[in-house]
Amino acid sequence: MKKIKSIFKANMMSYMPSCEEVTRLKSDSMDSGLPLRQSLAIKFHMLFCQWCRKYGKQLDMIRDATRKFKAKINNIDNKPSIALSPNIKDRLKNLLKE
Amino acid sequence: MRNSIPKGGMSDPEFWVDKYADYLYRYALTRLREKRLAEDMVQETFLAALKSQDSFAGQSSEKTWLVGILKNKIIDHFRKSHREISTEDIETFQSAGDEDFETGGNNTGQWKINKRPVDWMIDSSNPAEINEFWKFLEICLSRIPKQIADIFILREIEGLENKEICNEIGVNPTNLRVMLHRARKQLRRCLEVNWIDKDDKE
Repeated sequence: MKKIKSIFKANMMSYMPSCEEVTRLKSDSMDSGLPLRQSLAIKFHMLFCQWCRKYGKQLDMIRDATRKFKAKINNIDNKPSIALSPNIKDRLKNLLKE
Repeated sequence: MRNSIPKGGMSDPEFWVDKYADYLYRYALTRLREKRLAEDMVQETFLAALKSQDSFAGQSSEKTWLVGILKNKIIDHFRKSHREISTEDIETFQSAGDEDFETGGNNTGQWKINKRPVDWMIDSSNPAEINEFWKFLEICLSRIPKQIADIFILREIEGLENKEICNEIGVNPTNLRVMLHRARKQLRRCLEVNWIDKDDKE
């Protein structure tokens, strides 16, 4: 167990990404899984770096809010303010009748 | 009584327009962010549907079918758009140094003091906040290079996977990753400055 721990530590210490790299890795992680080492590295970095932690949370928030908004507009029974004007609809109907 | 459309027939286009045009318009507008363009897309979608109505035999819902046509047209549009924009612009955007981080000395790679993220207190369960968020996101999307904004839309709104975006749009995987990273970084920053932290404009 001690050996595993020290190998792990040595491996981690040799790869300590900067904040700049962490922001890049965070973005990558949102599109595909990161290799284990990188995944652990950013979690480890974020334990100690509040700014990267906030950054990560905020990217998640943006994605989450986007999805919620998408769900709203997807609701066909929603009576929203965004609609085609009657003019355009009429024009469309005429066009389709031809 | 008009409860459903006879299978295989857009026999009453008026009905289809009344039922689906607004929805398709909202769908198009959120992806394209331009009213005229969205209107044109909706029109083209109905025309295409009319043309290929024989292929609609009720396998999916009418809505799904129409959205499928619209979605393909939107992707076609983004593909053309991506080709038209000079690769020069993209390269400039990507090679521009990341100004948010220190570049020299012991602090290389760390957040510059005035660029550090601040606390966001958003209640994403509040519909009003979600509306406001969207309003500001649209503004911020208009402020980043269009090609980058399109990529963000394809990934986060259209929900395409990276691989799909590469295949459909013709961007290589590495560039795509860089573009998404830059998009997210810039959008986050823009939202923070203009929406969250309004009083501390730089």
